[in-house]
Amino acid sequence: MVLNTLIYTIMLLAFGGSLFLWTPFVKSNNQIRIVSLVITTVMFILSCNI
Amino acid sequence: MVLGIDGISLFLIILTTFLFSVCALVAFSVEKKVRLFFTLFLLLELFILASFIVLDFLMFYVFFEAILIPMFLIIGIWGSRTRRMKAANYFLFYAFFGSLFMLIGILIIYLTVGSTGWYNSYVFNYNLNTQKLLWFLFFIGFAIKVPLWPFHIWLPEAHVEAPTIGSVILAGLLLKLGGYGFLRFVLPIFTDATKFFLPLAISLCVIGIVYASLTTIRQVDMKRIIAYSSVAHMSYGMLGIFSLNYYGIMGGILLMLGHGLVSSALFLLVGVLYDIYGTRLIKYYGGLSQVMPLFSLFFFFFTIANMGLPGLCIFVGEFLTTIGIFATNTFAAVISALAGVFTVGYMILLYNRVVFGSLKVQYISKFKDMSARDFYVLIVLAYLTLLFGVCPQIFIESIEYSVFRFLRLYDVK
Repeated sequence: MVLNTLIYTIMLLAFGGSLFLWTPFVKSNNQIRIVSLVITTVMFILSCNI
Repeated sequence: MVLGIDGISLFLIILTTFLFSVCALVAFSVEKKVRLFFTLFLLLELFILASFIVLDFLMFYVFFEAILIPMFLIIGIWGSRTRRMKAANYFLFYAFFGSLFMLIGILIIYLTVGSTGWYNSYVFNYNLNTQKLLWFLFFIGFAIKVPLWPFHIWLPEAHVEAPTIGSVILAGLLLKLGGYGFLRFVLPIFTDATKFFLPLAISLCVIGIVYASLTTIRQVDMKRIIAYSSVAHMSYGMLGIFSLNYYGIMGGILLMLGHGLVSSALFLLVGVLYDIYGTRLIKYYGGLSQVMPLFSLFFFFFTIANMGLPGLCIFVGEFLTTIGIFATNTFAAVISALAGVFTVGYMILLYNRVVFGSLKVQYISKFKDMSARDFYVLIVLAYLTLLFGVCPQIFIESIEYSVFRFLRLYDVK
C-alpha cells in the first residue's frame, strides 16, 4: 500500500509538474528551471524510500 | 494497471530519478524554448519510470513507445548541429521498427493467453514453436534498444547530434530499458526458446563487443567514442545476462548500473568541452591539463572507471560478468575479455590526445575550466562511482533475492 502510494506520487509529480510549468504561476525561464529541479529532486528522494 | 518493483528494477528506478535530477541541474544552460524543454524532460522521466514499473506487456509497450516522442523532439530541436534531424529520424525509425515486432508479439500473447498481464504469461505454458516466435519478435525490439550488433547504427548517430542531456539520458537510461526488457519480459517467460536461441544471442554479444571496441579506436569525435564504448559495455552486460547463472546476471545488472553512472559523467565532460569551445573533434584539443586542471582530473577519474579499474563501479560488473560467462561459454569469455584490452587502448588514447601534449593555440586561444555547477554534479557522480566500486554489497544485497528467484523459477520451468 505504502509502496503503491510512493510509486503513484512519483509518477504524478512528473506528470503534474510537466503541466504545472504551463500555468501562470511559473513565468520566467529561471522559475521553470528551479521548479523542474525541485520536482526531479523530490522524485529522487521519494524513489530512495522505495 | 499492474505495477511492481523488485531487485532488478529498484536501482534502475533510483538511477532514473538520480540522473534526471543531475540533468535538471545541467539543463540550466538550456536557453532555447525552456518551457517546452522541461515539459518534455519531465514527461520523458515519467515514461521511463513507468516502463520500469509496469507489469503488463501492453502497458510496457505503450510507455516504451511514448519515450520516443520526447526523445525525438529533444534531439531534433535542441540537437547541436544541422544533422540532428537525420539523427532524430534514425533514432525514431530504428526504435519504432523494433517495437512493431514487439507489438505483433503482444498480439500473439493476447490471442494465446487471453491477457497481456506479465504474471498470466509467466504461469502459462507456451509450446516451443510459439515461444521461439515470441522470443524472436521481442528480441528484435530489445536488441535495437540495447543496442546489440547489428542493430546499433542509430546509437552513435543519435549521441553525436543530441544535446548533452539527451546523450546522458540515452546512455544512462534508455539503453538499460533493452537489458531490463530481456530480464523482465523475455528470459523468465520464454525459457525453452531462450535455451534454443542462446548461441545466437551470445554470438551477437561477442561480435558486438569486438566490433564496437575496434570501431571506437578509429573515431575522431569524442561523443562517438563514448557511444561506441557504450555499445561494447552494454553487449558485455547482455553477455552476462545470457550466461543464465548467478554471477553473470548479477554482473550484467551491476554493469548496467555502473555504466549508467560512468557514461553519463563522460558525456557531461564532453558537454563541458563543447559548451566552452564549440567542438568535440579530438584534433582541436591537446594539453588541456595545463589550462583545465579540474576537468582533467575528473576526465581521468571517469576514463579509468570506464576502463574497469578495480575499486570503481564498472569493474564490479565486468568481473562478475566474466566469472559468469566463463562458467557457461569459455570461448566467448576469452574473446570478450581480450576485447577489454581495446577498451583500455581507446580510453588512454582519448585521454592522452585531449589532456596531454602541447596546447593547440592555432585552433583554440581562450581557455577556462569547468563551472562550479559542473563541478558539483561531477563530484556527486564520482562519489557514487567510488561507493559502487568499494561497497558493491550495498547493491548486491538488494538485487540478489530477485536474481535467485529468477534463476530458481527458470530451472523449475
